[in-house]
Amino acid sequence: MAVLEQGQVVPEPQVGFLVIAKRVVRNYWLLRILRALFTVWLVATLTFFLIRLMPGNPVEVYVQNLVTQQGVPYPQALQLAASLYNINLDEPLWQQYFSYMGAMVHGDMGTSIIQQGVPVMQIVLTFLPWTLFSVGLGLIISFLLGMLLGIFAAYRRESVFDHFVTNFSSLLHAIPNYIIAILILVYAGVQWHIIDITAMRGTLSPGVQPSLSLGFVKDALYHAALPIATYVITTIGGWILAMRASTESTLGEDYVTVAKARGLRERRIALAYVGRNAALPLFTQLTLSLAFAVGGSILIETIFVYQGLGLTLQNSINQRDYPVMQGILVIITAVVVFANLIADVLYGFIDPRVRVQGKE
Amino acid sequence: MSIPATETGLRETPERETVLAVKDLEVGYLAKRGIVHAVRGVTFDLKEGETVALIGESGSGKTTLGLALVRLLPGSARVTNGEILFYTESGEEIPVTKLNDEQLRRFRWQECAMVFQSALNALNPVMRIRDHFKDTWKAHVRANGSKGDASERNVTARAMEALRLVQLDAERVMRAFPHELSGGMRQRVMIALGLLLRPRVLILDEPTTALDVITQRAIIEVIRDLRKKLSFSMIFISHDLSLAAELADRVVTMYAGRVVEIADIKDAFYHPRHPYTVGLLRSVPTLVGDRQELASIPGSPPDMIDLPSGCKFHPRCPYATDKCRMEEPPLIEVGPGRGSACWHWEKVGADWEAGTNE
Repeated sequence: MAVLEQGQVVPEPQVGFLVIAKRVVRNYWLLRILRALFTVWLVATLTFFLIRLMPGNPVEVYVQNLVTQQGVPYPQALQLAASLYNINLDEPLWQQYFSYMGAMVHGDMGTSIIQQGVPVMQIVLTFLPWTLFSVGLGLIISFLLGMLLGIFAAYRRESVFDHFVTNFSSLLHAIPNYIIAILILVYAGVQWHIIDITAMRGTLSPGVQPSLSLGFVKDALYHAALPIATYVITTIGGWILAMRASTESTLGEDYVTVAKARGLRERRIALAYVGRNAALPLFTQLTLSLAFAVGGSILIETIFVYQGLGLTLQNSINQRDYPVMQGILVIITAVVVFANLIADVLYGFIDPRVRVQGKE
Repeated sequence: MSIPATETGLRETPERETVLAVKDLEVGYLAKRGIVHAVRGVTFDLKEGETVALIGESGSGKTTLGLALVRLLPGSARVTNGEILFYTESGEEIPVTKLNDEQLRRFRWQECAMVFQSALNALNPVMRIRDHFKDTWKAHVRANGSKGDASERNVTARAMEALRLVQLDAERVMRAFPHELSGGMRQRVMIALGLLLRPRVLILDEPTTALDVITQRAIIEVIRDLRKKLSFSMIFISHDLSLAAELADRVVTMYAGRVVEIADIKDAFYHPRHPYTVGLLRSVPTLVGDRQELASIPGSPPDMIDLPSGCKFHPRCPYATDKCRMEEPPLIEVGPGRGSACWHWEKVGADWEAGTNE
């Protein structure tokens, strides 16, 4: 259709704006980016109003504290609070919303209530890398290992290995990640003393500074080991089952039979013909699972006291630190949305059939 | 030019070398109800440069036979008896049924290539055509070291040559992904891929079924053209007698897993000696000769698990007698180099000759 429309000389009498709008609609990637921005905006708006519906308003609590404990007159206390939070509390909610959004467009997400004066952006940037590191590594390990085991299970259909792996995968797939985390903590950490959970807390051992040394990497991995193990254990079952099913159907494809007829080596067929095609549908699931994993990190990081974004979010919710909550939620959303966008771009490289030419 | 091969003198002559000999081959599929007797004691051979057409209805065992020749049968299939012997150019005998995995891998495509009926899905969708050629080349050339080197330029040159032979725009096709090509083009690519290693035998399993009529025509032309330019033996599996007529030197008619008639292409068409072949001929219109009433063969192919007694064709055969119901006829020699598995072949022949001369 694109060819037809380009080929025809269609008179376009519309005014400038409509022409631009049409161009935008026809440009697939521009449209995708706009849609991603819209999603982030939508989530920012929803969280802005939703978190203010939560019981227990910290601003009021703070003002009350000033009035009752320090004897500050009420209007002055309000002003103090307003200057601290950079929110004019006399304003109606929608006006607060617009000033918040206006600031956010400039990259300013306000300052924390609890850690007074610390910009939200700084808090996010401090903790986000740790969450991305642990969640990302966990997902990649789980994805690759799961695909490998899935292929083996499919190749050895109905064998003992296949039955064991398939049943075990279903079991792992059914257990929520926080249960696994608690089990690790209780048994491996407390009951059996296999691992030193106290030393593994946090993101780095005291005194270790981020650098490009082996020591730093080892220390980072040591502290992230338990969250990563939890992510791997809880997601690998799904990957194994998906890859096994996908491989099984790919093995029945004609091009696999033909590849055998062509006398290709078994390993080449397994990798380039079966494996590569069977993995395609799993890449779509990978982007979806990223959102789940980031969401799941809140509980996991809390359980293992791993100072990532999830733990920070948990604390900010407990303390009703609105700007931090809001900021983290928006950033998580943005990360997931743009990870999806990148995955879409990458998918075009993996599967030549979906390479986009200005159209969906 | 409707029946070219016979006119070029490619008839069976004693001095021509045998490239492939199938002896008393039996293949069964394990099913829940019992064993599906797909191929039951098939014996035939293929001479150098010859084209043999395997003709039969769906379920007659012709595709199973084709797959058995390169040992590509699915896991539920068992070769229960017989042997497949392949002879290389140097006269070496390859017992296909006894090869180990690595020997089998090298045998496939190098000596015997196969083009399948599923033209649309025979190529890996995530690989360029170029890489299909490279993969095939690397899998064989490096292993042997005899057929030239595996250098990039060598492969490309050979691939381009093969693609030009099947009348494709080689430059463009090499760069393309399978989904960018039409069904007919993909089937040509498969044929070119089949010829890349210059195998002695090319098996074509209904290579035109997934294609439209015009594309079918083009593919047949390509194959015929190739047969003239290159010397390879060919097994052409089809249910379409008219396609077989255009390409084959000899016709092997199969019914219920058995060879019921082997004949020269002309004899098969003009002097059939088996009622099943007669039935097949009567069910398709002819362009030459008088207009005849088309007649389908009554009944349907037999249950391959629970086969009828005696001659497997007797429930559908107008000539059937008590003998047919009791005893299965062997392949009776009814002329030089031709056979018919029918007790009443003489009567069938006489009736046919009388019918066409009317």
